[in-house]
Amino acid sequence: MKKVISISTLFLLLLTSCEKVININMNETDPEIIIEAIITDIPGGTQTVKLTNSVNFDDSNIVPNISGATVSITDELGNSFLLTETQPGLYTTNQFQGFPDQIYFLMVSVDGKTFTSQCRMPEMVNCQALEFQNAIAPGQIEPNYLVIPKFNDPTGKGNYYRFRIQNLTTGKSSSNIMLISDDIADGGVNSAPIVDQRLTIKSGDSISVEMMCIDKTVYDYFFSLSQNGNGPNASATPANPITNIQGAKLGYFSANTSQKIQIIVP
Amino acid sequence: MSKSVIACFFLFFSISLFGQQKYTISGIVKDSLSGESIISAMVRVKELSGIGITTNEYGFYSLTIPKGTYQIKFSFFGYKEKELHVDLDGNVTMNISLSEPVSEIEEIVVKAIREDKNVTSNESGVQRLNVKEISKIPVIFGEKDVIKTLQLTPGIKSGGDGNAGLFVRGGAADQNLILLDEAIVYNPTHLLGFFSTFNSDAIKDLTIYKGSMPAQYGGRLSSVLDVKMNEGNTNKYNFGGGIGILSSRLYAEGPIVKDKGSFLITARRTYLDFFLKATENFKDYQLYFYDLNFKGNYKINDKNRIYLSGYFGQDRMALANLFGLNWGNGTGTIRWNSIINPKLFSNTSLIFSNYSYRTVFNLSDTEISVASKISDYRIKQDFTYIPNPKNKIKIGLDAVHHTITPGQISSTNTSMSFVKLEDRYSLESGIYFSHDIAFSEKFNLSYGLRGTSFQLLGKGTFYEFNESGNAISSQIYNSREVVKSYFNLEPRMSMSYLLNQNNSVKFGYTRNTQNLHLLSNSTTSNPTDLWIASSKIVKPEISDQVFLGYFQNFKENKYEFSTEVYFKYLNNQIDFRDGASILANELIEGELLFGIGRAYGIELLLKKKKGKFNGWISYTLSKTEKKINGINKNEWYAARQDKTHDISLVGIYDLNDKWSFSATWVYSTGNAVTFPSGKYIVDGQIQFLYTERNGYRMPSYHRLDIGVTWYKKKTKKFESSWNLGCYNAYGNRNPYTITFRQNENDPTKTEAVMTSLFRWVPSITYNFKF
Repeated sequence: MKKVISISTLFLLLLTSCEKVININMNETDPEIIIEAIITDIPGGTQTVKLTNSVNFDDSNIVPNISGATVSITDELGNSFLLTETQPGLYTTNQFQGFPDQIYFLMVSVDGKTFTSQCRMPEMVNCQALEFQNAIAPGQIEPNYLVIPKFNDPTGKGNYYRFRIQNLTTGKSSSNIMLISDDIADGGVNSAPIVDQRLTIKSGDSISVEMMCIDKTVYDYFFSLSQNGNGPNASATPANPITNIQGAKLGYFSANTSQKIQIIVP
Repeated sequence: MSKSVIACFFLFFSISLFGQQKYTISGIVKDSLSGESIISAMVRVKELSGIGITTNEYGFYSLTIPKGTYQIKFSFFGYKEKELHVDLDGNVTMNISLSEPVSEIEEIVVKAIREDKNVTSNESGVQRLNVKEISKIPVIFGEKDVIKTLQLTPGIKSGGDGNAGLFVRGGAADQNLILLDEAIVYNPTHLLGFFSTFNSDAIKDLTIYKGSMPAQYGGRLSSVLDVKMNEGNTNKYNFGGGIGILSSRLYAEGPIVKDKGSFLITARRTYLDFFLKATENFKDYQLYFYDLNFKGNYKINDKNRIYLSGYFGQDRMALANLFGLNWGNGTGTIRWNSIINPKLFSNTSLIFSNYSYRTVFNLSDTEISVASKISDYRIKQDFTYIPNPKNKIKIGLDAVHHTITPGQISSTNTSMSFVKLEDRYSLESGIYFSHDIAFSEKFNLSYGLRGTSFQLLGKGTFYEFNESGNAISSQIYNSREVVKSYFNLEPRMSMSYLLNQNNSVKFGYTRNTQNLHLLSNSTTSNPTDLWIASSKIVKPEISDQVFLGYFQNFKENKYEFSTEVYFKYLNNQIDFRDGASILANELIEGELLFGIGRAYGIELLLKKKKGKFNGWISYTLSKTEKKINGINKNEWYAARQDKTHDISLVGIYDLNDKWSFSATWVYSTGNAVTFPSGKYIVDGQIQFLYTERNGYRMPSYHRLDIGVTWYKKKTKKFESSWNLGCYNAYGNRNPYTITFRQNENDPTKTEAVMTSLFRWVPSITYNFKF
């Protein structure tokens, strides 16, 4: 009974709110190409370009891969690397490693259409530590750990960071797009948390955090993607994200640093 | 410009050139018990048919007629008519007290004033509400609410459950000029829109202008909502209030000096947070609002009176120590009414208004807050000149200084340095002239002109942007230096023609401009939405509206019917670029896109005004679209508030003087919304593909509310009543949001999930007065 009272009084929003799955008649769409191209500075790492197509809203979530494309990456010095299709729709190479402060050029040709992009890999910013804070996120009842990556943001605006969290104990990964920018707080030690309410983190869990220093165009892509939508965290009128690929409507090309930290939550 | 001014003065002077010896009867019409002045009371001359005038917002009237012997009639809805004999042989002052009928039932039978006023007045697109009239209409949580009642009338729409916005004739939520005793209220809502800031105990009268807006109002495109506070009883002390499940209110009123001055204080608070405190999980949560209204007035002498009124309200929400949100409005008005001579009435006002919000995040012992504020100082002078009953002239000017603090971020941790956003200053001034003229008993005309000047002032750094929204240059201005100025002329006119005793047609045109714009990136209105001023980049929004109406009364004014059509063309409309970043962005103007809009519709109202059973049916068919370069492939798209059909049914049944039953039913087409048409995968997550802006509709909204009021036996000293209600009585699941997610059982499928807020919200309130 107590529980009933407490839940019924939690915020007017939750007072009598209820959810129901409904049917909406969505329009059909033409398939759009999605390019996901990532170059990292991981020594010996694999550079990957993934090509898929979009599907209709009511279709299954298994998206068709695009095979038979010509994919190449060129660096500032003019060295060109052709990527090979190792799995359907996945084009990879181990021929080179990305370096900070270098510009890379992407070219994808498929079905007579060509898509191009360029991206600069930012300087690496070192993540020194991870801190945890036990807190109740808005709209949640159970407390969950927030992760605060501790790193020293260089003075001068224009530093953008993206994160991924994996809970190795539960085997689950974050599904939120987690970004930090120094647009509003430049320089100093970061104290902004990265949050994913759907990823449970408990004391004693082993977690892995990947921190990526990303270019502004990539930040803009992910920021607009995260704002998007109909999800509980979205606020903007939904729209397609801002891509940095010429000729394409969707997708991104990111040359970013990558640092992985593994830790047991205290 | 000069031509129209000459034309105005020609009309102005032509009025008094002819005629025999005339004298003026003037005075104030008051309520006999409370001493409150009565707005819009009718003053007529029995011997001169068609000659009459209504009292102004301070209860003042002035009637200039030829020398003679007359019977003067004073009347107002819900009051007994009073008739007085006058031998007019010189100017006379007649201060009149009207009394209310003794019993509830008598109130309904009493012959009210010009019951055909809706037909005969030349106003079109105007709704007046007297707080007494709305007390029986059921509302959520049992709190009678003027804004919720307005939304049951044609052309005025709500945003749905959990959306505070008021949408008038296709306009956006920020395009309404909301005034409380002349002070602007920037956010008229409490608790995410479930309550309005207007405590009905403090409110006397409310008028919304959606078509013909008088020239003394300016600064917003789609409507003027003019709310007047009660003045307080000048004869005796009264106390009263209401106790409900979620909120309670109290008021006190009484004379300061008998018959000379009075005061009124009202207070209101919700107490959901006390219930939260009693729980284990949510004891650290906060969720409440309170507000206070104060008004005092003092009669210096028969010709001069001073009013002081104020409002203060605060909303507080906090989720443990993690997140907090506070916001509130404050207003203050000092007014001096002066009857310079029996034909000339002057009102001088000094007004302050303030709106602020603060969001607080607490993380690892660091508090980060975002604070935003807008504060105004205004001075206003208005003259009303009534040379004779056929003419009324208003001239005035006002000036307001705005200071806007746009979402400043700060932290208790001094090592964090945040961008310092500059305050923005601006000066908005207006000068106006309007003339109401009755050419004949059948033909009325009202016209006016308002000149609005807007100046954005330094100091600060102001940017220029290129087409893609990147800053290309900046310029620094000194304090008080003019950065940019705009001047706009806003002509307006409306006319009515009486076809016969029961039918009239009305036509009008209004131009409005708006220099303060609310930037809202969210699908529901939000206290964190940002106000910005017109600038080098943002031009004044302009609206031109034409409207045509037909009004009819039948069955001896028992029923009234009206239909109005309107067309609006909107210029310099604003929207965000896709993926705009609005938090603490000093280059926010680069994130904006501009375009045009249009809105048109037809409104129908059938009202039964008298009898044991009364109420109305209201229907609106409308369309609102925007066309903005850079959005929706530069094609027209439906505005978010576009709702094709909107129906309200209101019924009140007075069984006897003890019991009264009421019900309202509303139906509307769902809001225009952007839904995905396709999907794709990025970084292992499903993302959605959008093809057009606002190309889909939310499910339609409908709801039945019912209420019962039980009046306990009235004694001389004590009155009380119980009010029971149920909001959404048949528990319809109305849409609040629709989200998309993977099906839990079959992750290869995506499903749409609709969240609804309120189903069956019962309420019980005990109201008392002694």
